[in-house]
Amino acid sequence: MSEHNLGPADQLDEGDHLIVELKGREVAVYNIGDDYVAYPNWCPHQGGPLCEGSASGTVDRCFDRETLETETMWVKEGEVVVCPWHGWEFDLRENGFLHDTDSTLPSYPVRVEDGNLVVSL
Amino acid sequence: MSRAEMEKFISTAVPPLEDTRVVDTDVHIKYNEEIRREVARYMDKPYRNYVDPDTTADSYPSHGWPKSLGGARKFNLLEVASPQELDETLMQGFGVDNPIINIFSPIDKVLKTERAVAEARAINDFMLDHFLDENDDIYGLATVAARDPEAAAEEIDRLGDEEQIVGAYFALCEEFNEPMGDPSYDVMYQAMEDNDMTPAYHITGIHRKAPVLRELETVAAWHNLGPIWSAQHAITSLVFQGVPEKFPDLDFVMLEGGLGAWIPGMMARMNREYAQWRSELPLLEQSPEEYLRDQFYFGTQPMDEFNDPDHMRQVIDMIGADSLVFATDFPHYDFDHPDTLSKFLQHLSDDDKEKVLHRNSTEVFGLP
Ligand code: FES
Repeated sequence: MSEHNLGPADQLDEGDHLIVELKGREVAVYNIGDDYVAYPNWCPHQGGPLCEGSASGTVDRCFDRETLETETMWVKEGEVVVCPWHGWEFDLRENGFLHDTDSTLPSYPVRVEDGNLVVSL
Repeated sequence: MSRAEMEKFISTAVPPLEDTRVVDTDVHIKYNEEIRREVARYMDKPYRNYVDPDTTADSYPSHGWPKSLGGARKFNLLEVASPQELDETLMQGFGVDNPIINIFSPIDKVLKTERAVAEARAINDFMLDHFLDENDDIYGLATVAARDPEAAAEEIDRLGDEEQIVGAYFALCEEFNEPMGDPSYDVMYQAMEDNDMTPAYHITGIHRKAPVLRELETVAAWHNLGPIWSAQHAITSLVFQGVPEKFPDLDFVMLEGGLGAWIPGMMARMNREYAQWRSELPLLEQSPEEYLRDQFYFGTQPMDEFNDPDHMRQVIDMIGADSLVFATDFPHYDFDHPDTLSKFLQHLSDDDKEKVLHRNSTEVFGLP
């Protein structure tokens, strides 16, 4: 395992991310508000640059079986990244694609040490 | 129907399928003048007069088949209009033990919604009195006017206790109807789920809604595309609107879309679209393929015909015996004989054969 100091944590405002090359692979680090997460900049669908897009939210809907009413909601603001190639939605907090939550990515531990972001590979 | 017509139809070269129970999920009763006259008796004026052929000779638009393109071929090989005729032809001749009949009416094409609602109700009463009450082996699909979903739900509630009415019949892509997954239909699906009734969707010509079909010049070309489009339209609408998720106890039966590679093809295609556009389909909790495998059943007719019959066996394996329900489409010209399907099932276990020929449909429609 190797550790990499990416500089001051406050370079990333909430919802921002950066992409760095570490040991020959591109790694994206996101500030999702109360936490930092890091994933490879790689989409398991066809290998697209998953993390080129910024984190946003997504649509959810619920249905009431008795009244037959549906309600559409905007959820997970700042926690979903959309692959720029074909649009798969990745949940940064839960580590899973929204259409198939069993499909996950290798995630890299991130911590803040002395005000700096440190990623372990 | 004359005895000579009946006898001409039954081939002595193909014996009835006798060694297993056969449930036929797609059996059409021709809505001919004789039946219309009977149905009118269940109705009040003014709509009684619209339906009775003796007062209104021709009150139905064409059913959508571009007959002129086909020359002299008949659409109905026989006009089955009584349980006795059904017994002597489909049941004894083909070996079908339990037909699930639908009254093949143009209910979705008549102009007045109020009349369509009244006529649907009368058709159901006719079916009960003339086909079901005296014949324990025959089951029926209710006729409902989907363009008035509240009225359709009321009709489903009214028929809920009728044990031999096991589902409701929907003709696809008809001009007054919405796509089958439209949220305005939720009230019908709620009623069906509450009453243990199963929706069955039947293809149509859809050339009114898909005018490009008329440009193809031949029946072969039109029939090659139109019916399958209507089935695909319904499946897409139902799954992408989340109807199986909204009503998890419902099953959905697709009739006459055909048994072919399009079925697994739709599963894979819809999986891809869902993955790419999930935020448009937020009710879905699993992949389209999972909904299709868990809650959808596909009638086996018309069977596509590969040059290499082994390919059909591969298609059946891809779909899986759990998802198929036997159907003849009797007595239409493109029916399939049970013996032909049975030949394509030889590589399956006895258990799987029985699923296709009767066990799936008895479970889905709640037959004893
Ligand atoms: S490569 Fe990411 S969605 Fe296709």
